[in-house]
Amino acid sequence: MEAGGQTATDRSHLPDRSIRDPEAPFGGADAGLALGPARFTVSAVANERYWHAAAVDHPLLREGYLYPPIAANLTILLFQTVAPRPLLHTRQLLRCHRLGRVGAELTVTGSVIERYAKRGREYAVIEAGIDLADGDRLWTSTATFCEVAP
Amino acid sequence: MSPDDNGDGGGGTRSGRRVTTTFNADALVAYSRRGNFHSDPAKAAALGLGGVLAQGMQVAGPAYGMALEAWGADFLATGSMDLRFVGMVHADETVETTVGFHDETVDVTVTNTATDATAVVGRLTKKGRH
Repeated sequence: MEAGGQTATDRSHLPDRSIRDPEAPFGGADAGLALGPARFTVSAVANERYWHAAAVDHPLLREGYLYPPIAANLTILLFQTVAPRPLLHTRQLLRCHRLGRVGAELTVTGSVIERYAKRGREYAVIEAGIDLADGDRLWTSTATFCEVAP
Repeated sequence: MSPDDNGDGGGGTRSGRRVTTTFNADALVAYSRRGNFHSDPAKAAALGLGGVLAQGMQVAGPAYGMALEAWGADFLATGSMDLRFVGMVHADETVETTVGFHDETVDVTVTNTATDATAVVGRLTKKGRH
């Protein structure tokens, strides 16, 4: 999954990371590499775009509560600050810690927690914490990616 | 997209449901925005993907929606998920989502009816461990 639908129209909050090795898998991002912080604000329009396009509808979402699967997209955007090539998303773990509202500023930090090879393909596991402005954890996202093999 | 509830599933769980959903190209662009292989046919073709692909989390949406309908704010606030994206879903392909509800978990299987292959498998939990 590539540039999985940035939830903020302004990408200037993405950290300026240099890619370690453009030729290496995931730009050379090895286990232990810290990612972020990156800051996003999910507008009501963006929130609705996600849940509506995923065939989800619920009064709580219509009332302006954030759609937690957005955490996966934030994790992708965070990893893409160091991994330059298109990614396939192969697994997603997500834990929700509290309700969030649209318009809240979210800070995403994380790290590469595992790298491994399986059946000739390289995989990276990213753990990201998505925090509210007061520092309270909103979501914890753990996503596994491999690169698209052209 | 066009969700279509096919009713009760069952099969050893407290209750089950099955719905079919078709994610069209507009829905893929809405979810993934422009400029990537989920929304740009040229980028998908360059990668040999046979057309634009839905994101796994988008394909899992109907299952998430059924859990949200059942559990409401508890799930939104403290729920958890563990989902594996094991098969591709292209634009305009129809998926069948089968969920089996247990007390506080729901087992999820999403099958691409165009290929008869599993696209998503995993579990949603009403209140995750924190």
